[in-house]
Amino acid sequence: MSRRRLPRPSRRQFLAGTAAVGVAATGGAAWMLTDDPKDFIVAMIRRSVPYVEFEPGAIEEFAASYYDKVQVQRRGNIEKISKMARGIGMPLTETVLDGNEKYENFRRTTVSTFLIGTDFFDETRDTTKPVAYFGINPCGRNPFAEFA
Amino acid sequence: MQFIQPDQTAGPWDLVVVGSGFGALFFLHSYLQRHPDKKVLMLEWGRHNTTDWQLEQFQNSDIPPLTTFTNESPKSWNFTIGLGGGTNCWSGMTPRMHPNDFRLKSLYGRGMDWPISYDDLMEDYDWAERIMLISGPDDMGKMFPGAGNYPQKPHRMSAPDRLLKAASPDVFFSAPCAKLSEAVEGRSACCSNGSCSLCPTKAKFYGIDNMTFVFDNPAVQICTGARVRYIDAAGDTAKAVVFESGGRSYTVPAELVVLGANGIHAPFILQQSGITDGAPGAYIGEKMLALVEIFLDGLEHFDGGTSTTAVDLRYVDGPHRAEGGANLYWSENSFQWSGLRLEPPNRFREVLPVAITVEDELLADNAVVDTGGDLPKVVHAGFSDYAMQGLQRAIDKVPEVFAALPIEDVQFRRIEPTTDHLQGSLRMGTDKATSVVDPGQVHHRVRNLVVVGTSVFPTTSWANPSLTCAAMSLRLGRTM
Ligand SMILES: Cc1cc2nc3c(=O)[nH]c(=O)nc-3n(C[C@H](O)[C@H](O)[C@H](O)COP(=O)(O)OP(=O)(O)OC[C@H]3O[C@@H](n4cnc5c(N)ncnc54)[C@H](O)[C@@H]3O)c2cc1C
Ligand code: SF4
Repeated sequence: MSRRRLPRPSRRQFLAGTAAVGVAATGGAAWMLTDDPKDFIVAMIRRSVPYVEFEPGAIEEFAASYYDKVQVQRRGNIEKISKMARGIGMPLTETVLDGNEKYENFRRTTVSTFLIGTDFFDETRDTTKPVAYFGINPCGRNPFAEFA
Repeated sequence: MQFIQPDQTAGPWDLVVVGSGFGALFFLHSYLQRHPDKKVLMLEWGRHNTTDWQLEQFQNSDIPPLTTFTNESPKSWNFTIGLGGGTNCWSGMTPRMHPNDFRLKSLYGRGMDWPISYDDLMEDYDWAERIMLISGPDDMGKMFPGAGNYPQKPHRMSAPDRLLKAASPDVFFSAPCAKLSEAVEGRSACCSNGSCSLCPTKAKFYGIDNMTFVFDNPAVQICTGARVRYIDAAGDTAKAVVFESGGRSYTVPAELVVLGANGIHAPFILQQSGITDGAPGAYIGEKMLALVEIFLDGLEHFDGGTSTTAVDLRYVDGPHRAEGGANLYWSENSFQWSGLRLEPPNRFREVLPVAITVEDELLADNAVVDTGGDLPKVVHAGFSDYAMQGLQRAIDKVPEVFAALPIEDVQFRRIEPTTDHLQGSLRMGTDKATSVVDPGQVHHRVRNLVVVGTSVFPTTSWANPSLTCAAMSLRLGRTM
């Protein structure tokens, strides 16, 4: 079974793309952190894949159900980071947490869980449309798996 | 399953089995084939939590392990209290141990030799693999004599795995595991979800679903919610097992007692019984589990057919074991370990998570302790220098081991808080002073008391323990 190679933009293209999304998004409330820790999850996802356009409300819907499912202890940690981000802003928070294994693990696994709950990796998806969110599979399906 | 109430347990019983995990189940399976007429009582602390209940509740048991002991150590410990014990929560990885794992002291001057050998277990390894429908490669005999007759074909390797196999065919293998590669009645094939402690497809082997021939055996009566507190023994004989349920205490006379509680609770039961010969509880430990990530240049991963697709075994044995623990490298096909790669953009799959297990040395000061209360206390100093040295060597060797891949970067991520394996707290040996049970897993003094489970392991090995535990228990049951 062959798979389509995903386009790989250069670092320069990446930065340009990020800026464009940033400008487009700053007008909306999505970048505003309230005292709801779920906003932090939304911001973290946006900043991790700024070059992907999702359907409006998709990340928010994921963040709500994801936060609902995480363990109580983890929630406490998310609340702490969220509070920090409200105080010093997302960019500085990311700088502070740079190299923090627990945060990096949380960020990557959360973003991955979100992405695989969308049609982002679906090779048949209409790429002219924003990426749609379908929901969290509690077991985290692997869309790349191939079987013997 | 024939469940009985605590007030129906008066007996008499030929056999009282404490616990219902790997050790107990595999022992009973072979024992009952030879002794079908024996009357068996299974006393299980936990409830019967069906696999559907576990999936719905998103947990293996309603009794969190941390509520059953106090922990005075920098690391944590994990297990399941419930019918089926660790066969519920386990991830289903099933390597055999290496023949030299049984001779660590005589070959490398570390730890202790086992009083049994690989050859003693060969037949039962094979049997355990058939019972659990292990999927694995047919060339595994290159590493483990006699291995490779797996009942299920191996899972598909990922693209990086296939390059590694081509480069190192004698030490790199598709990973043996108790997760179906082909569906059987009532169970789907593994779909590579990676949430194996709660398998949604029933591809993973669960004792409560897949060893019903033990639970449903007419000889076996099961009492759940029965926490065994102590064994009433006089001289060299165990007379009865005392358990509590619903705030009441019950005494069950027994001809033979099989102690299959886990590596924390089994020694505690002996301590509370005053059966302290050979220092039960001492030497508790487990191997180490760490994670590195190999960032790949232009090669995509995660296309394998199960959550852990392959294993590199080149350093599971060798003279390096004199200085630091042996190790293996697992190729992890699940992005639940550390997620997809997020930077640079659109290279999500260009990363290979590698889990490394490293053997640790079991030390006397690390112990399950009876402080006189209701719960055991685990006092442990954390992974030893032996394990740390083994880990360092394992990380240093990553570029060599994975040289067939286009490696962009290697990053050490973390040591996991626990490997989920409890070992060594009731170790087997020939010397009464330094071991609790003899080579036949019979208590050195109390001769009608048998211990099953991973608590009898004298060393941790680098290998996941449950297949070996199952094989040892089958052997015991058929030779007793
Ligand atoms: C998350 C996780 C993943 C794992 N993955 C793997 C893997 O991939 N491969 C592998 O080889 N191993 C794995 N293991 C380890 C495996 O579960 C254990 O090695 C195995 O279960 C040990 O068998 P045992 O018989 O010694 O104990 P258990 O299987 O734990 O059985 C002990 C039984 O005793 C009962 N019990 C305890 N105390 C009492 C009492 N006082 N009275 C009555 N009953 C009692 C328990 O409820 C349980 O039924 C994993 C473990 C965990 C937690
Ligand atoms: S990878 Fe998924 S289907 Fe396979 S055993 Fe694990 S949880 Fe079950």
